[in-house]
Amino acid sequence: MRRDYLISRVYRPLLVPLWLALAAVAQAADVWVVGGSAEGESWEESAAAAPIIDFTSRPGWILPSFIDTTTNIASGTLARGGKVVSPNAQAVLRVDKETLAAGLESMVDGDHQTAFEVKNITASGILVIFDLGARFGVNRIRFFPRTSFPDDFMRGYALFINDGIFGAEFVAESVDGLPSKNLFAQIDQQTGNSQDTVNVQFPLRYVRYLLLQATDRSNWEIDEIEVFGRGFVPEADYLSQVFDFNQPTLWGQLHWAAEAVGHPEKSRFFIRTRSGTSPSPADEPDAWSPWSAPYLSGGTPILSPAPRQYFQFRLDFESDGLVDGTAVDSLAFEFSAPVAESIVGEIWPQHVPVGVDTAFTYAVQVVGSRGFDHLEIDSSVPVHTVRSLHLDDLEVEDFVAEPHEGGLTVTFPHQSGDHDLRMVFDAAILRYETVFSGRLRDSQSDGLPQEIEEGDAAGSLLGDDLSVRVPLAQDPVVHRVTVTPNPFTPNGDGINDQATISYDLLHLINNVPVSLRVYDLAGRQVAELPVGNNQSGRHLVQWNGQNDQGRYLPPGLYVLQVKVVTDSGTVSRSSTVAVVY
Amino acid sequence: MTRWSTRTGRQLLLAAAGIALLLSIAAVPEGAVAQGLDYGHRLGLQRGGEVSYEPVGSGVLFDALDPAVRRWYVPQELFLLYRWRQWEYTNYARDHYQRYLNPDIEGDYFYDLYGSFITKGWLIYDWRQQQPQQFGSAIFKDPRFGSWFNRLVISSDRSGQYHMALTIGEQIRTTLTPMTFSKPAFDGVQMDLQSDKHAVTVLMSRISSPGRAGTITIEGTNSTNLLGFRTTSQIGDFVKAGATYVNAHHSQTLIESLEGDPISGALTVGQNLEPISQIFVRLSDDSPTDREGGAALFSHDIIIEAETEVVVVTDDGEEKIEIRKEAVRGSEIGFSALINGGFRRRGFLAADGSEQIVLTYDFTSENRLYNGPDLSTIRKVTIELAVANDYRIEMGSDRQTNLPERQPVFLTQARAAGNVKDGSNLQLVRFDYGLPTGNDIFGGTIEVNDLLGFDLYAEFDRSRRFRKYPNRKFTEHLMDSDEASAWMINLSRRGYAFFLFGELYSMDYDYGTTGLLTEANGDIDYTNERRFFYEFVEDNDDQDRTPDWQRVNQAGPDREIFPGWDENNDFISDFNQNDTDFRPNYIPDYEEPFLRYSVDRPEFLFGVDMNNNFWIDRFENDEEPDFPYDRDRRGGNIYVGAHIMPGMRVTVGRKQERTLASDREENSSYGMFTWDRDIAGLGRLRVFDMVKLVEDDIPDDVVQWVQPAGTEANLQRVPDLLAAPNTWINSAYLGFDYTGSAKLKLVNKVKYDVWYQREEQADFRDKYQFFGLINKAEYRQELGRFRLFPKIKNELRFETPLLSNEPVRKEDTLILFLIGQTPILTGSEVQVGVEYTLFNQFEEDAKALGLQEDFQELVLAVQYSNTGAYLGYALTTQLGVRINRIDEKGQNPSTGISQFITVIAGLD
Repeated sequence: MRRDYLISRVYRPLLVPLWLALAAVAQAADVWVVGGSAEGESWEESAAAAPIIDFTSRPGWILPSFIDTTTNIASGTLARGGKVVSPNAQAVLRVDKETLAAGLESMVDGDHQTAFEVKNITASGILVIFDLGARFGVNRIRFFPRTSFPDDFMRGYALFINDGIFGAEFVAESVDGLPSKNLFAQIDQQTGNSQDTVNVQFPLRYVRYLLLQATDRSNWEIDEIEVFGRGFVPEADYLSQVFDFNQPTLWGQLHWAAEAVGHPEKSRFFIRTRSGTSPSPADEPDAWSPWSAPYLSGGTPILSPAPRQYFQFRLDFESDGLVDGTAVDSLAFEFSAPVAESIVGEIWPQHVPVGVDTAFTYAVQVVGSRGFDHLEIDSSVPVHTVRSLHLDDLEVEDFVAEPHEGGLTVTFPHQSGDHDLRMVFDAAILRYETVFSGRLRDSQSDGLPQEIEEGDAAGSLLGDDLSVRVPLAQDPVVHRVTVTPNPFTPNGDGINDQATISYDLLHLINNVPVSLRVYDLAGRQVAELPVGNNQSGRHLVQWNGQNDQGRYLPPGLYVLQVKVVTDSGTVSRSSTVAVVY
Repeated sequence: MTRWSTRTGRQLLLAAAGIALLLSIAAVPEGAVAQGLDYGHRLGLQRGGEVSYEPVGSGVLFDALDPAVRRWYVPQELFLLYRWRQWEYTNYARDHYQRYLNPDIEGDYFYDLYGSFITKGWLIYDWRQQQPQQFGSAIFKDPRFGSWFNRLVISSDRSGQYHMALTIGEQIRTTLTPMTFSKPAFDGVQMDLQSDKHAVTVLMSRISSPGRAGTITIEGTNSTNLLGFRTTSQIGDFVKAGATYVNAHHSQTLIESLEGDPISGALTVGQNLEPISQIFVRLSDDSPTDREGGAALFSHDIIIEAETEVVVVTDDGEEKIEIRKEAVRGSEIGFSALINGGFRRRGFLAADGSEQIVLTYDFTSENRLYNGPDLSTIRKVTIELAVANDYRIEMGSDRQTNLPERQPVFLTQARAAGNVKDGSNLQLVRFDYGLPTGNDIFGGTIEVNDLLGFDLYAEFDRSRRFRKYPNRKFTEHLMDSDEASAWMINLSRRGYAFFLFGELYSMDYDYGTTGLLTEANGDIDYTNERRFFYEFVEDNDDQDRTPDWQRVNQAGPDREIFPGWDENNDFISDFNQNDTDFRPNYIPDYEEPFLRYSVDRPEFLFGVDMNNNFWIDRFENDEEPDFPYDRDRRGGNIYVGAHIMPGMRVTVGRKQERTLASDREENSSYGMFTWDRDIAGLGRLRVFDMVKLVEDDIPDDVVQWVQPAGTEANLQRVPDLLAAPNTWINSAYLGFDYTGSAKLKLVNKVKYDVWYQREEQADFRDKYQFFGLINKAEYRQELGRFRLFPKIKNELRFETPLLSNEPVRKEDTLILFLIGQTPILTGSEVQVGVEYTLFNQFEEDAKALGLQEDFQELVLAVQYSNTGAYLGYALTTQLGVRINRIDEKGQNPSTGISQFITVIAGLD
């Protein structure tokens, strides 16, 4: 359902930060809201699959199902996608598959007129396996015959459980066969049971599978098996329906409002999105993007490709404690019409030496544009120089290039229709698979920027994508350490008083601890320069020639050592610097 | 003058050569001819001697050229056995008729491969492989192999110090080294040579189908063969060096014998039947529980190498077939993988936690057109990945499947070392895809005995797994392999008063001693370990003849695994003393009436738990081969100690260990005090204490015999709770057995364990405590022929479990026994016993907490026992009845009865 109304109406009941975040872009795009106030599309209507999500206990919110001590977990087995099977009952009872399945499922259907009957048989040992469909905190299991057959209770049985984690893969695969009892923990066994209602209690623990084995040949039946416990389910998933926007659409930011129930560190949830060009991801997986990485914070641009006509999201809830969970009030995402029918880009060259300034050609092919005047390029390495910008082979003179920490923004005269853009800039690549993703924006419109898709934008270039690679030889993480000027003269005359130490870190995708130490030729550390944590890139550190005590070092030759502590080990590289006065 | 042609000259030469050959035969000494006559002994070249085979009538030798028309028949088997000739009148008046004898009773005639007569007898065992032909691998084991020889035949010889034995059997206890080959029941052929200083062993087996005694020859075109070898040599007085090689490989008899590679094996007919049309690569997080830093895939490509036969015209105008090789990259021809799964991050795809990235290279997809070399020409496919972080890479294909569903199966290809999350291990990895054809292990050992008081054992082994890319057009396939290493060094000095022991070890996670087996038709199910896996090193923690796991062509699985607990040193586990193969008993003795007096629960015993998983190491049962060290571990342990006085010693040590494919580790420092003293006329005193400071996050899961109250026990997987992240552990034990009186015996033991968490841990109590006290008294009183055994046992248990959601246990079990025995007649005895158990649960609401409620149990038993001789056996006959009644709080009392008549035939 599409909503173009004011943000304040939508988010009146929501958290203040979400208000502010959406207000900032209120005029920029439309917003699709799920959950929250009565005006948002309800969570339940938007769901494609949410078997153990609680829609009711907090109206307008969703949260993983919470089981109280009076809730019979087994009654929802089939609805959750669980099942009741027996690998050997068919042979013993001599019934067809359908009859057996109906009998087995009657144990969890809540109907006291039906029961799973095992009577007049010549063999014991029937196994029944219950897959509850999800993991629950369980501490009590009951089963009993129908009231009209009070004597047909199980006189001999053994009851086992599996928590759905320990060997769960094997259990899940073998549930229809004969699962290994090694994977189950036995919690009860009776050989001379005299109680018609069997009530097994045990300390609260997670359970997904039950295995009930009959050990007696006398007639027995089970009207219902009931499973009780308490707490949040440890895992729950919400999968939205596929949202159809009727035309290729751009995605903006994603927002949500949620709060923790219980200990905030013992529960979490992950939101992922994907987009596609077909209404059915299951039937045409090639037409859909993979699920995005989880969004860590609200206000994050949606990572799934655009423009696409179809959009889907999912929420994965996890809980480490039985009383700890997360409740989500609402989720909103921005969308708008595309800047162009298609925007395809590529970069060349794609294989360059490490850390060497290289001139790159960035080509963008725009088809059916409604207007654009900004090209934004993301780059994890600094772009030093923009040499030229060509539009349809004509050089653009009046463009403005603004390099910034995360890349480069180029502004040029407003364009529309079909165009070929080609820009040449210089950069030094320090990471394998450095991606120069980008987007076109129309400053005269309220719409969202449109991401450039990788593809064949210029027939003369061979790349067809936006990634640049450096050789993956045994390059150390610390690639290069240089000092300029070298020697330097920290004598306060204003000339060459400071040295700039430059080092390149390669291939790192997270910040790692880096230290920069200065040693004299006797191997004594004389100074340690503040560096902190760094990622891949070229890093510059200024040094004024002073030691740790703030005194200027005597003239001489010193050794600079850059040491990086990575998860693979510690790597260091050294260089020399001369101090003269 | 006739001019001879070249052909005529050649014929003359051949004729001359033939004459020369005849002359040379004629010149053979007489003895040699006589030996040659043996060849025809049965058919009778002995004409004119004792037996005349000359035909009547024609009057010529039967091998003479006689132009008579009359047909005659050469006397053969019936004449040899019964003197019967087809044309002679038979009359049995004087010499009575002799019935046909079964040839099986008489045996058959056998000749060796040179044609020499061996003997008349029975074919007992025959294993041969002939190539190239269908069903070329054949093993025959005559029923007599089982009935006469009990599935074991030994051929041996000796001369002076040199000994040789060739053992063919189905259950041979064989060990080469503990890290390469060790099985309690090897089915195959073992050949051993030994002299004073040297020893050699060769193992051979068709492990895919070693055959069973029967009348049918087990033939097959595809088989998996095993070859093992070990040699040791004494060097000087102290050092013994050894070398080991074990190989298992697929063998296919349709190819010529010199084709292919017997080390890496051949693709079976089933593996090579059709070309591969889909290759799958799966990347996942090697440490999924941390939910971050999983596989990071930066780029991927496929390299396809093909060979095509092309007809070329040489400069001379002749047509010649040339092999043209080509190699193409998928990225060059627009052939890329369909990607499923993974989180898109900047520059890479991530598989964190349970996420998986699956690359599918589909050569036949309509959507992703493949325009590379024809599938029938592909020789090699290489997958190239730029990956980082904590990855696990698995590969599969549409020809690497399970059975019968034929769903693709992934086999692990590589795992990242450690748990890298910052991308610092970014690298380009390449794997040649192929189907498994064999695996081997080669290695060496060094033993040093008593050199300056030191003993040393060192072993290094390297395992390889071979794989080949299938292509039906070729009989030889390109091979690639994965390799892994394992090594260990043990150094010890056992002196008095000081002693030391040190060990260093490393076992790669993928060090493999498992071979894949093939069906006779060449099919392999890559997931079915019971049918298709062969273990060089068995899992047999309880050291019995039955391996713990189930594998094809051998006994197992073992349902009763009780390692290590043998306090009375009779080599039978005290857990289940009354268990036999034919009458299995699944109730541990500490739960069984009357037996529970002698046997105490394992948690009341003292032992060493070096891996900190709450289980005493010697009681542990796992599902891994019985290597000396666990796979995926590298570490060391050293301890030194001193004997303070006889029976009393102090030991201090340090252990460091880490996993190789993740970043888990254990560091522990420990000290142990032991005092074990026999005091004459009084009894035995035992005082033990072990204290440890431990940081351990390496899981050591086990499969243990777990018996919750009131249930039949079962082997269950018990996960390691990782209970010692930063923990003080102390285990103290005091035991005293009074044996000062012939009539009265007292046993007392107290154990106190405490695990103190130095840092707060979620879900753990700060302090785990176990206090166990057992007091037992047994008295023997004889009243004439009547003997009376009153006994009492009390078991007190206070336990504060580690997990905070588990209830505290405070329980006491008092058991009173009274057994009376009286002999009757001369070899008979009647025994009457009463056992009364009073279990007291100190917790009021026990049921709600999942604890055992209070109960009383009364057991009455009467047994008549007779011992006498019968047919040379000492026959023990027992009949009796046992009634037990349990009255549990909140339950109706229940009564059970057990009646029995048992006959046991013994030899003494």
